[in-house]
Amino acid sequence: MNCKECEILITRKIAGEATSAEEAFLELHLKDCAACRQEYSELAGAKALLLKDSGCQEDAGMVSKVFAGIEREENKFRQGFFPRLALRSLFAVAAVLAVVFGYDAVYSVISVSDYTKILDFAKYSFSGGSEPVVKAALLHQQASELSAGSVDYMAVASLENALYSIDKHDNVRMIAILKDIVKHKAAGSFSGGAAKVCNDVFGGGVVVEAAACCPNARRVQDEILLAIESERTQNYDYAIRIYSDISKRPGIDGYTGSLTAMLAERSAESKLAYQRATKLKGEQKLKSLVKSLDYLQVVKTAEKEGAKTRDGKFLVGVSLSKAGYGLKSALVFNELKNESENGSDGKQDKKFAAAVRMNLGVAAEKAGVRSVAANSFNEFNSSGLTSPVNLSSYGIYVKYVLEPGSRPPNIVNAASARVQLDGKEMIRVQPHGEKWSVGEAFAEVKLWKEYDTFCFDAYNPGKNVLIFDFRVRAKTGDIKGRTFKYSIGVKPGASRVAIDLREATYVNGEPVRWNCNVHEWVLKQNIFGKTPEVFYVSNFRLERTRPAALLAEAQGK
Amino acid sequence: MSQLTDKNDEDLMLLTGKGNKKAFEELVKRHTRPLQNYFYRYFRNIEDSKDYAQQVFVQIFQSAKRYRRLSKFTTWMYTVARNLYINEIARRQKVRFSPLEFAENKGTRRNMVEDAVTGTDTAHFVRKSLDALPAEFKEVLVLQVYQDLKCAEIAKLLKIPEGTVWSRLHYGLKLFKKEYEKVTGEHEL
Repeated sequence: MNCKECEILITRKIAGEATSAEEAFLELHLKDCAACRQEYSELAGAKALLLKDSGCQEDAGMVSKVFAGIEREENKFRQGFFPRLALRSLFAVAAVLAVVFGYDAVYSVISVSDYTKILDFAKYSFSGGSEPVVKAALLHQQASELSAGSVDYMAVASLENALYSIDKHDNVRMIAILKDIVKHKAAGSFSGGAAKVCNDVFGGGVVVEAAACCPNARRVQDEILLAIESERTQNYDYAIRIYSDISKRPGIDGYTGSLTAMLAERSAESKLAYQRATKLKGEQKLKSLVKSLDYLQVVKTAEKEGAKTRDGKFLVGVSLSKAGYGLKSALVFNELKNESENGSDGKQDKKFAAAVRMNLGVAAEKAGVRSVAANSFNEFNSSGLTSPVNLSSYGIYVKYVLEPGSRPPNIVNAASARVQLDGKEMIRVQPHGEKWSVGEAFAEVKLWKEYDTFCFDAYNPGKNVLIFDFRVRAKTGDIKGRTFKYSIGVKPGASRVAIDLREATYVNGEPVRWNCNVHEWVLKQNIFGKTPEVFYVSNFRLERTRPAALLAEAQGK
Repeated sequence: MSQLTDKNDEDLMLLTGKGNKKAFEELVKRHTRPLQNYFYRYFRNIEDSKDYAQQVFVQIFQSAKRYRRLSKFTTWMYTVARNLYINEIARRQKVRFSPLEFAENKGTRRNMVEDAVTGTDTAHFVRKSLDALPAEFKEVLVLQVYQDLKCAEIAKLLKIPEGTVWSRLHYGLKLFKKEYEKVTGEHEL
């Protein structure tokens, strides 16, 4: 036996796999060969050293954990995967049945309880940006239509086409379809919802159009919805009319009354500006009209009288954006941007260039063109200027609009946020944890009792669903000092996280109960409780997305 | 129960495939510690190791019906575990951020537990030296020395020739020894 063969036997002996014959041969060789003896003792010593590390202790509760994990997986399969597939099929089957056999066939296939699932499915499947909101709303309306018994196959087909257009990013086609739906289906329960859908797509101007198409919208829920959307788009008179009307009805508390007073004040200011505008001409008129918040009038005036200067174009762009026409507005600002880059506007005004970029970002964001929005905001940020307008009025914070795969340079890591509702009227978001580098800049204080949903955008750069903790602490009331902790799951990519604050309601200024719920669809995304190392959050905001809840409460009294 | 404890892993797995949960429970009891330690040798985090071991068991249970007695149960189990480890490593490398938990929990109870396990004794140097080895050598050492797999099984699991396993084991041990001397030398300095 030579030393090379012995080397193999040494390894086999140390691995405990040498046969007795091999061991005998090895022993003989080692007696004569000092080098191999040295080799053997070295390797045996190495293995002995390795065995000194006994590892970690056994987890005594592993059996129960494993069975809990198995159960969770089985539930997930039953409740998650299958319904998703089933619901996809459900839509297809419903549409076909509706076309071939009419509504009765659809109704016999889909039970009422399925509509909730359909809505859940819509929420679960799409997240981030305005498009998913529209998708969810469309699916919801589809469900409502079916459940209300007023479905016709044209409506179903139109909705399907609209959804298809969203997938293809063909916003123009989608808008045309939705307009068509509003005009032709403007009756009964569908009208208010259709207005909401349209408003999500292109804002206040269409809400008015939709409202005009909806003379029969008498359901309070739809009316409040219309009022809120009108208010959001500065159509105060219309909002006031609805609120005043609703507040006179029995069973409605002072909620709408206080809003009416607030809106009336704003409306008076707006009217004053409008009166001034009628006496002016050219850009001065446009400026005054902008102050009057009648953005559609600004656009009409500009079309009639022309907006030749860059300031005039800028005002038209802002007005289009405010009126909800994101795409048109983006085109105006894009033209202004090109002019300023080419120097064809004859001026080198950095401040103006930055304002154009910021507004282009806002408009592009509204139009759902996130890549343009992100680029514009980044360009605006690099200008080093502060925002020339109140960005919060857009509901957008420029720094953190992200393209998929990108990340804001000033966020290193983020763990959790603590939201404090002070029991009276304020909400404050505080960064929590030393790694949260966004600092106090995130803190936002608002009157929270007018809102029902606490929202923020989250961006998960990983491949897996991320889970993070969200804490809400009660500052007053019976449960003062109690912290509510929620685990929230965010899918890879950009998502909108919404936390329902509907339970945090008041009677005579005093808290009656105090709770927060995370939407179910967020929680469904938990997979094995694994947390990726980093994610990004931005755009903390309060929203009034659920007037139905307030209404239900009022009606329940 | 006594009958189940007498049975080998493969029989228990076949019983699990037929819906016998007690048989699976016995399997979990037998392999919890080795599996947990397998992950611990790579991730050096007790909680993560427990979680990954749990995931492996869940996956094994879900595929129990498809199990055939073509190879040893442990080979199969470590194949599942290795795939999980590889996926996790790929994911971590892609993200490349330091775990927040680590940054935030400095000095917390959990770290104290980790320290107690880590220590500053021989075992600590052994871990440090093992972690410093190239992945292919470490993998063979972990499977042979700690997980007690035969070299033929390791070859099957890693899909490499058996001769390669022997050679990796041989040179892996030598490299480890060298590394250990380096680490302890540094410590003495």
